[in-house]
Amino acid sequence: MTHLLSRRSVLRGTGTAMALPFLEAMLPRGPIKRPPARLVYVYAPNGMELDSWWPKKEGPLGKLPKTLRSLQPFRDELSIYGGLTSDKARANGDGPGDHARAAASWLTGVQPKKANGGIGLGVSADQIAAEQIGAQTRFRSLQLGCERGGNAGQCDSGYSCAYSSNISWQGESTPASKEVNPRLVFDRLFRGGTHALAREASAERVAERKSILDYLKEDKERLWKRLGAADREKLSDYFAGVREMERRIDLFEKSHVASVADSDRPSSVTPDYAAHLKVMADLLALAFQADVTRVATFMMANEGSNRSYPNLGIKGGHHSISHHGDVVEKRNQIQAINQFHVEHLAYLLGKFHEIKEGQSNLLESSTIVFGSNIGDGNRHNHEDLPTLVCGGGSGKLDQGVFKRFPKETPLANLHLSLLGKMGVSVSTLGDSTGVLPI
Amino acid sequence: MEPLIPPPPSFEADVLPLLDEYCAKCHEGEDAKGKIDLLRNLSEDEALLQPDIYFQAAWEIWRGTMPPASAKKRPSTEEVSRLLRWVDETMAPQVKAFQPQRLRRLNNFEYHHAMRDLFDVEFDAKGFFPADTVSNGFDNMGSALSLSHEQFEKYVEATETVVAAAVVSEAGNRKEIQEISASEFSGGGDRPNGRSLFTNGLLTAQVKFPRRGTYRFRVFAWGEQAGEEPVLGGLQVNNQVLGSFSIPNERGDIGVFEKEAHVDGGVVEVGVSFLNDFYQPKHPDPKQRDRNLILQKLEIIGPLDILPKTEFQTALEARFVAGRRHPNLHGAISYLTERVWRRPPGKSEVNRLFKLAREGKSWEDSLSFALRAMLLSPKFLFRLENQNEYGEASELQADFSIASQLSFFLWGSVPDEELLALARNGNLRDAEVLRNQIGRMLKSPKVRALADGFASQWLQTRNLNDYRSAQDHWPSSESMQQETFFLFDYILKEERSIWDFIQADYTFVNSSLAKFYGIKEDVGEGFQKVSYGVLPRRGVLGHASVLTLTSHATRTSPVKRGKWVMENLLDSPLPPPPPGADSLATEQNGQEDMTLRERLELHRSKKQCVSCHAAMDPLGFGLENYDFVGKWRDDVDGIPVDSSGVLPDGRKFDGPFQLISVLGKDVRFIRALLSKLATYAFGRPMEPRDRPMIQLILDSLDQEKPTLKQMITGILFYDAFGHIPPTSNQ
Repeated sequence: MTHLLSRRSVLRGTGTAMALPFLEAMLPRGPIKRPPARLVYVYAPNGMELDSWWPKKEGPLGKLPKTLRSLQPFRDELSIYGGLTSDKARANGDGPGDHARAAASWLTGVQPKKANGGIGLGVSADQIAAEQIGAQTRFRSLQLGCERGGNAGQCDSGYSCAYSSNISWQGESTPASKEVNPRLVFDRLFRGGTHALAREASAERVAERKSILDYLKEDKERLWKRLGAADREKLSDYFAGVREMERRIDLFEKSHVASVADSDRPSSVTPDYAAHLKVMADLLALAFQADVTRVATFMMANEGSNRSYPNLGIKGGHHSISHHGDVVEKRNQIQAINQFHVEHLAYLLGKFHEIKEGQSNLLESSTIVFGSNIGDGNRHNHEDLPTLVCGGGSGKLDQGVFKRFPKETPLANLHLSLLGKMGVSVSTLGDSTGVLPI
Repeated sequence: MEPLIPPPPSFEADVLPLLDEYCAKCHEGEDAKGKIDLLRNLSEDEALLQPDIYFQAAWEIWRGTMPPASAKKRPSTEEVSRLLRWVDETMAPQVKAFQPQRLRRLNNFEYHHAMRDLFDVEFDAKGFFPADTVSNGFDNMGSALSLSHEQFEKYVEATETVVAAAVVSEAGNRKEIQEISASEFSGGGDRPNGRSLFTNGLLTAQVKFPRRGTYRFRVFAWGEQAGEEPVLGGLQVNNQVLGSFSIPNERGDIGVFEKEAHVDGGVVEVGVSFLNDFYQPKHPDPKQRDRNLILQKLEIIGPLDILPKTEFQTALEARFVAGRRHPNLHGAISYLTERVWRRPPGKSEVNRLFKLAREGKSWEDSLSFALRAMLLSPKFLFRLENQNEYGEASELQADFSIASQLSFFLWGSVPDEELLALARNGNLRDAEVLRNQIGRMLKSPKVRALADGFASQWLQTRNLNDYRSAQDHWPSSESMQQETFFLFDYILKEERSIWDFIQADYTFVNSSLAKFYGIKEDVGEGFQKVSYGVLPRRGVLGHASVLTLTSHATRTSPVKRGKWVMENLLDSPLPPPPPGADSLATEQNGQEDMTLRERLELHRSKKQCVSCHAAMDPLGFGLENYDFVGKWRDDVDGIPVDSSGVLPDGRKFDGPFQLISVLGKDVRFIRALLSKLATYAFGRPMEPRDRPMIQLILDSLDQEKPTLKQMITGILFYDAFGHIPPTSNQ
């Protein structure tokens, strides 16, 4: 590293905790490449108060509505889309359970299986991207959240708790694990895992891990032959994990891992929810900046979340209040919660914007989808969903507009279109019917 | 003469007319409710092709959930038993085998216990792994325990952490030298080959320590001297000052200053300070004007102490190393594999692990290699003990399967040596042996896993994990959870009647709960069994835990409480509200002055709401004397609490005491507890086809005094033998 500047020495000069500028001097020698495209999905639960969400008229964005006010500085890197529908979040004969279905179908466009606590869904948009573009980075994708899954009892009307707490699905019955502990996220991304803290990942340890993975693969054959179909499916996830670990080890050997200062290492606990949202956003920005991954999802809260917002002076639970019955006070509270979530989206966009990448910045090379898969929380409807697309999308997005698509346009069409622009080759996603003119 | 055994009922003559009479109103034709058309098949041959709808119908009718409460006609006992006999004796034997069991991954709870029991290592699996998905009310359902890429990666790390703690290796005791160059410190200012402090201050660096232990710190520094004293430097670790040292050295003459200190492992902040700044800009000699400290680097050597071997290691070495010329690695692997995989390994399995282990450079390294591989294998991570190395199920495997079923159910962990030895000798399928083992296991301290794993999910007290009480003087959520834990533990271990869950006139309190409930008795440290005496509380429905978790944040919810009782105590899960059902909050305006009871009554007046709310609401209102944290109250805002009610079947009560005595006779409670327990034991939801099993176990209980032990025995005997020997519960 004699000719290249370590990020760490740059960091020391400025003394800021998180700023790790992407400098051309840091790039390997050779022609400067364009910054890679990044993709993020940010989810907020329980629908929105829609009067303060939609702009008055279609077309170029002017002064943004109340809930979106904090996004005003990013107006030119933002589009508001109306008319999008998640049909698979509707009952379609499965009865209640709109919250479980909403989170489950948001990125999959698939109706989740309900019967007897079972799990069956489809692969989500982020994971399709992760499968294709994720292979270039140490981690295919990153799943962040602020709330763990349910503890006991029913999560939503007989649906497995997996649905309400995951938007990212690796396989039909396998959610991609979401991490809520900031310190564990940091250690995983930048320290080669928790154990590595105690012992630097050395060539020796990499070799040990490889030997053990080889052993596991060898041992697979006999086991595999006798298993029933259902058991095979379970174990196929296991062996996919083995292969992914191998890939990561290979990549680890070949690529330089960006060094990120220990001073950035966050605590496991955060003083409050706002701080939790911020530190997760910081980690997401840091992960993209260090290019350890290019695809991420971030659940600000689980679907159906009933947390209270004492910081906003709201004592009741979010979900309870969302059934506001048009009571003005409750409507206002929901609006305040929505605004709070959007402010943290703005915080994330701000972070991305601060991170310079050559002539550009991280926000320019990112596509960030924000939304809820319930329209109006009071009605549990799944059409005309509040949906934002933020970021420059590497110049491939036409931003700065409010546009309504025809009624019942599948939300999956938006996902399909964005994946296409990212260079992910996929022809359909869930209930998609085509791409959108965006 | 009448035959002793009545002939099997026929579908056409005996079953179809019943379905026609009692079910056809809703379950016939194209628009049959729930898409279940019970009159679609008119002959037995056709019916046999669609067995599930009849299993389902028999299940619902048997449980009394169908026909619904609102139905005018109900089948007689004889008619019900005729239907059940047709399902069990005619239909069931002709349809293909029922195999709903999905391969189960060990959940985080079990992983934690397994590490404790195998290696004596406390590993925080719950904090480290992604949360296990809860389905059917429990976090150990085979169908929901998925395994993502991230989870596998965590397993790789977890095995490394656990094995490093279980096997102290030379590598772990190896002294290493870490050099922290000046440029890795922050604070102060840059110097060529150093970092300087111009005024009193601190340079800090984040340093990783391989483990807890003693380390030697060597500070390499020099000074720009001025004034009368030499430069005074200090060393601190995690803000704790270790000492100071005088640095008379000048440029070109670097001094080395040493201190030793004990440090916890992980990332620690290390600081070098400058303590005696001197600055006289007008001093005639320019070299006497400014005193500065320049740090060149810091060396950290350690750990200096030697970790002792673990008990696990010592015991293993006594068997496989002591008194031998070479350690018996092969033998050790064979022994450990049986413990970790919970079944005897095949020859080739041991050989492959042995081959891998030989990559290690020492006995400890080899052992670590083999253990890591074993713990990462699906044979450990999944419940595969019913198969041998060829993936075959054999008689011997069945014994090992039973051993695991016992230990995972009762201890949430892997079988111990005694269970494995019995399995190895083929003894576990002896009813007497099995009964003795159940007795032994229920007496072990490890059985607290049943309260921790099962009871906290059945009664949902786990949901209080995230609960923070709004008032400091209320008992903590941990205290609330503990009370319920102790009640379960007591009923289990003392073999009390399970009716105590509803009717116990005693409970377990610490001083804060005692004060909260108004129990006068002097409660010392910790929890103690006390009698409720004249206090109006009985069983779990008097527990602050249950009453809190079934309330909103600041008010009670009779609906939530009623629903909780229905689902968890009465085995009567309610269908979710129909689409478009309004929540109370969305009722029309003009209701501001109505009481909650009045508003709920209005809600119930709607046809689509009545069938469920007529069952839920009275149960909840019966508990209205307990506020949203379970504190007794006689009135709400000056209006006396009305806690009277009528259940759908006409039983009346006034107040929680009477409600509890009504529930204390409800046989649905036994079925509820059993079916929850069986769900937890088998890691899958109970299905209509499980009805005969549940009935068999119910029949095996002491009808006067049913206990948890009898239920557990019934479940485990059924699992082992497919039936319950008549003496098993005596």
